[in-house]
Amino acid sequence: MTTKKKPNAPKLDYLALATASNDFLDEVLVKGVMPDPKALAGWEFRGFNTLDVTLLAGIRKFKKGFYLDGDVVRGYNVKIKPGKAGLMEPWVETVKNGSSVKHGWYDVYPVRAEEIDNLYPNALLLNYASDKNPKFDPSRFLRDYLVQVDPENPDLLLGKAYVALGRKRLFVSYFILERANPSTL
Amino acid sequence: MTKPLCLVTGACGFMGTHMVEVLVEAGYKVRATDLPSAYPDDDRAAGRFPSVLRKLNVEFVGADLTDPDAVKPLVKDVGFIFHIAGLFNYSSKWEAYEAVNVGGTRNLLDAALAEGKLSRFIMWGAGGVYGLPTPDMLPLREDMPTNPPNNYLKSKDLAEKLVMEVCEKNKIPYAILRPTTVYGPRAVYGGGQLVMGLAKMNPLAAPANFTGRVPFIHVRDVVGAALHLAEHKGTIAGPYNVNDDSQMTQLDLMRFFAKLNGALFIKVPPIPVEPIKKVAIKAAGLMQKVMVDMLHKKSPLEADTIAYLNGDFVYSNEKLKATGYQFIYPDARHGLRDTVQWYRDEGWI
Repeated sequence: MTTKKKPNAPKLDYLALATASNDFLDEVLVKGVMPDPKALAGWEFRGFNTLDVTLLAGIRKFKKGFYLDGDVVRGYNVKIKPGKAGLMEPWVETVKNGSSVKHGWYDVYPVRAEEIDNLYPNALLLNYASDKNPKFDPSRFLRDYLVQVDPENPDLLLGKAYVALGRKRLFVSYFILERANPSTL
Repeated sequence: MTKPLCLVTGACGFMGTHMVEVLVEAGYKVRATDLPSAYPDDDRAAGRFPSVLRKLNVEFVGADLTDPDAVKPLVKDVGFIFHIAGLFNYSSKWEAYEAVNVGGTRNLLDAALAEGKLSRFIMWGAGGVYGLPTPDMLPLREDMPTNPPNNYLKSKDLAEKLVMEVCEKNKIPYAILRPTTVYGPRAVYGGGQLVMGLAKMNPLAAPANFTGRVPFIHVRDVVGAALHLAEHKGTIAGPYNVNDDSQMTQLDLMRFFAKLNGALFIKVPPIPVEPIKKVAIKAAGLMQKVMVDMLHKKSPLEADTIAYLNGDFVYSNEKLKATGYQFIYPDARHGLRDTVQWYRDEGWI
């Protein structure tokens, strides 16, 4: 440690976001900027769900990957071993047949004003109603909004997940993403 | 210009070792002092880490500050004094607090004034001297009257007043630091106990009415503030609250540690805090009597610590900030995470 002086402003980083209140995160989400989808492609981000129940479900931690499919950006989730769910523990991927377990595929595009999922016009939408997911996979009901927290930092993102039930949208959890490694797809 | 020689009292302790480290990093020559018995070996239980001083190769002069003759050699050629040494627990007798915390400070001031080289006196007071605050007192500011609730804090309050009187009379620029809950590497007692305890808990639970705010300050900000005030070109005088900006409630704190530990957080229904506190204070008082009076050991549970349970502590740090001090850890969450990492790396937890 050093005594190097830093400004008195609070640091809005992964730890601060992952342990912040929902009210605070909503403010950050509204103020966030839309990430460049092309800059996400080719990378995986370590993710942390803020909702406590996700700990019991073994999905507190995860990774999200992004890739280019022709001209379109799509993405996927990577399963993380549930045992080490603390923020200070490493994100250890569940491995099957020598590679990480990928699931929960989604399409990535800027929020469209004319569509029902238009709560945050400054966000990207991760739409899980993708043909890449099995027909009866519950993840098909997920809709995530995603913003860049700081316009100067493309590596830190804040997301808000909803479940789509018909025209209703139920809030599930906020999640934090931080660029971790190149895509393993 | 040559930097003044610095004396650090209580130099083998948690804050003392950090103070010496920061002074050496800043290019000062340091004379470190503590009880002679504190120097030979590290003693984690007692919170003594002389190996830090040895690694830094600083001069060590062992002395008991309650002995005026032993203090004289400490202050030779000394320009800055960082007076950290003190009896810090809630289980000692008044006579001991008075002798060490008040008498020791008087001896140090007398000797330093007689030596005639003193240009700054930075003293460690205590954030608790305001007493248990009522909502109308918040935030606690340095210009408020003190109301120390126990013998430890009464002795710190007396020592503060002594420093103010002597330094003002002799026109010595001085500052009294009033740190709140100090945590950081090597913290064993107080904030250290709290952080180590919380870092091991799974699950964590807190009643919904635990909304009192917990004041925190990282040790590097305490010693950083001390050096900053000593070097400050403008006027320094009187007490300075040394507290970060976090204002975490007890619930927030539990939730934070749950996420850090990967533990479940359970918010339980509100509990009647005051009646439970009364019973717990009585039980702790009894335990202290047995441990201290009969077994001559420090009690693991102290009534004065329990008195803080669910208290709402908000400290203004504007006076310190107005001097230009910039916190290393304005948000306790970063400091607490780094401290837990340190405890893990060192095998303390």
